[in-house]
Amino acid sequence: MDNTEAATGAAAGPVTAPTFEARGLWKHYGGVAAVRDVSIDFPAHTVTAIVGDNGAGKSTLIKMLCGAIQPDQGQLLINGEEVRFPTPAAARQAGIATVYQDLALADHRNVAENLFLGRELVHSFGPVKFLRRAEMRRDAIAALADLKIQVPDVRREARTLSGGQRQGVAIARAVHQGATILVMDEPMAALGLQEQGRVISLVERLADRGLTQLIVSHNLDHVFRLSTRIAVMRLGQLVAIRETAATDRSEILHLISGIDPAAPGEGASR
Amino acid sequence: MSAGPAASDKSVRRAKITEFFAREGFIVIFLLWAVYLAIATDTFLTESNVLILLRQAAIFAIIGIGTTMVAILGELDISFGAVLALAGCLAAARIVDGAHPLVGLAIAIAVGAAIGLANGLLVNHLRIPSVVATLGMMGVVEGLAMMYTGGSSIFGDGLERLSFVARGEIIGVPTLVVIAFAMYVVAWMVTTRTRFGAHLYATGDNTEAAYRAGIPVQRLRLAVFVLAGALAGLGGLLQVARVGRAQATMGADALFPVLTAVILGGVSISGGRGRIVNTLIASVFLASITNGLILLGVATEVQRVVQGAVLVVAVSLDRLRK
Repeated sequence: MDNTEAATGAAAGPVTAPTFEARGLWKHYGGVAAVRDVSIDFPAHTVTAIVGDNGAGKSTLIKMLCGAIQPDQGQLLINGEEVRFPTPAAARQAGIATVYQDLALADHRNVAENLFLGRELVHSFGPVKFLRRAEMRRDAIAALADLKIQVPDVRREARTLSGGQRQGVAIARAVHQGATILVMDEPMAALGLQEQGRVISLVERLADRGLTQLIVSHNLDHVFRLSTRIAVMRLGQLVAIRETAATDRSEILHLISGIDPAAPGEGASR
Repeated sequence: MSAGPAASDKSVRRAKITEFFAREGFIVIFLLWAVYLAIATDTFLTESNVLILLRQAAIFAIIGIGTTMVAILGELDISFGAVLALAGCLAAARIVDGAHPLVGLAIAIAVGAAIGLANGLLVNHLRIPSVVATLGMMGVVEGLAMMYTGGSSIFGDGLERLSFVARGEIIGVPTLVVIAFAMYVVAWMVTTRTRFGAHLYATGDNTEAAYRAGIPVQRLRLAVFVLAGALAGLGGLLQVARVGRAQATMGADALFPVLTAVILGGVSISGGRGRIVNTLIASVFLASITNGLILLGVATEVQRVVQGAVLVVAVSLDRLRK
């Protein structure tokens, strides 16, 4: 029985993320510019890490990208066309899904139920919607297998899963519900090394597939392991974008702090 | 992470046993209690006594459906007693004046639903914790009932037409019990097999996650409070049918049994968990406690102490369930 085709939502296999671009974004809070004139594009197949110190504007930028707040100025473009995201739901419609740090899973619901949270498969009898539970279970198994995410049983409650498995389920839910652009906040926080390895493999698999991924992280180790490019923010501005393979911690740290690497007395950091 | 398969197996098993006991332990105690009563008294297991017990449990159990759903949502509705009283009084007055029992039924349910709606709006829009909102509503509604009845009972020949509910039988089973059982079947189906039920549990479990997933949390909350109110209203009419009259204070006796049954049955007040059917079993258990104490000749004051103690135990068990 081939469940892969039967799975509703995102098809298994390659997707093409739309081109996603931000141009000239500004956001003020009171008299302070939290984000100043930020322009950045997010191509398919890339994993962009957005780094910066506290107050650099990372989370404000991210919130504008996924519809949680509105920019004061500037544009967002999907496939070259300007879009507006008045709500996170609108961003979701465009294929942008955010996987939050708290994972937004219901602990006492099982994996299949979490995968279909808010989008349950039902038989309708007028106003009454009966759950298609067996089908959701099958689809969940297929969706997880497709992304090579291992959970012991889709009937297990989410709270019995490890941090990495929960992360996997949260990501699988976003992908299964049609996301092509994934925004992840500290995806490897509180994960042991082995589990981090699984998340890294998953991110690579998704990138291969053609998804676009954005990662916000304070942890440069994670950033260097996960990302293909690094966008550095400082004081609300985008100060640099580097290909991860072409840079190192030292350069990124200097960009984050704004301290000139050539200045005497600055110890070379590893 | 794991200290080897053997160690984790044993601790998993122990955790499962503790969890089982915390959740369903009350059923074991119920059985022990029933066995004890069967031995210690010669009247407990008689048909007439069992029928009295079941009829008493039935009304509280029906109200308990609504209270349970509210609890699964992570809220608490303690106004059901007052709703029972006001709805019962208003319906009874109409019936005594000549209205058809079905009209009385409609009134009772409508009054209950309206109060439930008020509760839901208070919680949704004024963001008052539900226990506080329903406590306040309880006072308001009780006061309204007293104002309406002027302190006297409502009774009359018209109420005789309701007696079939209280004293009738359907193929040998008391009507009240059949109604309760049927409603529990529906409640079970709704909570475990429908999207509404899935959303109910998810919202109670992690409201933020449910909201972000697109579940209409506010609408859901409103619907559940309305439902709970309607069921309390229905309970009011059934109570009037059972005792043959209505009083403004007739809801007071419902508070303990319904709340205790919900908590004892394992629906955690923190929400997201619990089986509706457990409230039914717990309701019967609680009715059997009062029933058994009376049969054993225990004084009423001591009965109250026991009832209070059972509630404390129930809440403690709830803590054990994490």
